[in-house]
Amino acid sequence: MRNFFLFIQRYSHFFIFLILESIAFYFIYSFHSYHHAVVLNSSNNVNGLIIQKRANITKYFSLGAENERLQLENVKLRKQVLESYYIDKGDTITNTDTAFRQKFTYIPGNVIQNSTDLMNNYLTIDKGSRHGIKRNMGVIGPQGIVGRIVATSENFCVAMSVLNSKFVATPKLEGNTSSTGKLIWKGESPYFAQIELINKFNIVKKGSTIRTSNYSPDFPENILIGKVAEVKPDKGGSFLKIKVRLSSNFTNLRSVYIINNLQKTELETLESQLSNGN
Amino acid sequence: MAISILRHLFSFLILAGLQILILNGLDISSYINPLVFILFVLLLPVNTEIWLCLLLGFMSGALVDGLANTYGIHAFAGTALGYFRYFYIKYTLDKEEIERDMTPNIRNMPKSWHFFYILIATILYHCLVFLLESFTLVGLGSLLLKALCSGLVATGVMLLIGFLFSRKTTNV
Repeated sequence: MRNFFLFIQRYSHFFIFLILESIAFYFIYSFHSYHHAVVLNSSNNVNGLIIQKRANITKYFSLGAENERLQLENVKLRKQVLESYYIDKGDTITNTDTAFRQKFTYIPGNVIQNSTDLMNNYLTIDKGSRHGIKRNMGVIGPQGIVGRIVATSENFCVAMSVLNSKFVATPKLEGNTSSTGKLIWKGESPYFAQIELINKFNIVKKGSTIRTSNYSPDFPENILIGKVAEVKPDKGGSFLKIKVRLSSNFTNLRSVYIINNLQKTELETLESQLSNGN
Repeated sequence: MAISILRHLFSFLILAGLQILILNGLDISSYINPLVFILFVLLLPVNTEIWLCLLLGFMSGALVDGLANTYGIHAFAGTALGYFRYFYIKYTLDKEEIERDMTPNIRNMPKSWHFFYILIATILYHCLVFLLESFTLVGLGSLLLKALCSGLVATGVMLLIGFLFSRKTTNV
């Protein structure tokens, strides 16, 4: 027994090393198995405050470009509001009150921390559960799709961006209304992503636009994802390999909108009934 | 002693600030992502107790993890760095030199020793971080290239920092 204690004493540094490494490995492991940032992330209030201070300073450097982006988006949206249309047929009566019911609401936010050079990139946004943000809500920017919320605290939230090996979205190809694939990012360049699981029989043209489909409850339909940059048949497989130039520029992202689907709880209860029922 | 502790704490705050507030925000290239805050662990006095080295490596890494959304990678690599540092110093310095307990900075140590110490530790650290980050062996080549580029840039920055700010310490 005495020898055993001597042994532990002699190699105590090795045991400390093992203990610390296993704690750290637990953090890494829990991240990889639970699909979201569990322990160490910047939605924590103290950390959030520090990086918000930095963002408050750095945001002035890109105000010009940011204004231009938002203005362009406003132009696009103005084209869609009802006032921009006139009624073609004299006998049609439009009643917007009952014909349209709101499905999505948007919470504006500012990106206060962002990375693009890792394999799993995250954004920290200065809005939190106090503003109604929950996990899995979609995030879009003025130029298109941005990411999905993975963690929230009272005042901040963390979203995984499209540039994350765990991010998945269902895209819709221009012209092919029926075929939906899988949008993923494999970590080479912050400007390009891949689409998988599109059948070889589909004709995909270079330069055609890709938008979100209506399959995911977290994003509205027709949010811009990007343009097809390259199409290659998968050797020996039955799918196409499509490279997409992302429309959002993730290296200078500032203003974003977090999407709240008003029908999501209804959808979820319906789906849980299904899984409980059988 | 107290002054020495304060000085190290201060240097850590400066380095972590530099890392989080400036270097992590720079988008030079996806191949260049230097991690400079580890200079804090590397410059602890040579006779620091091993458990303290490990603990400080772990804690400084965890702090940077929390701010940079890297979920424990730096805590893991920081602990490994603390251990590596212990053995590197033990096998490359004489007992007398270790007992003089100086910080291994560019003024106290021979220049070549300091250079290789920083270079090897930094490149190993970057390799470990990028490997843990991708959590797979796919694309190992480009990963190692990334680690090498970032490691070399980080070494350059650290040598520069050492050259500008370190002083020759007489026995603490």
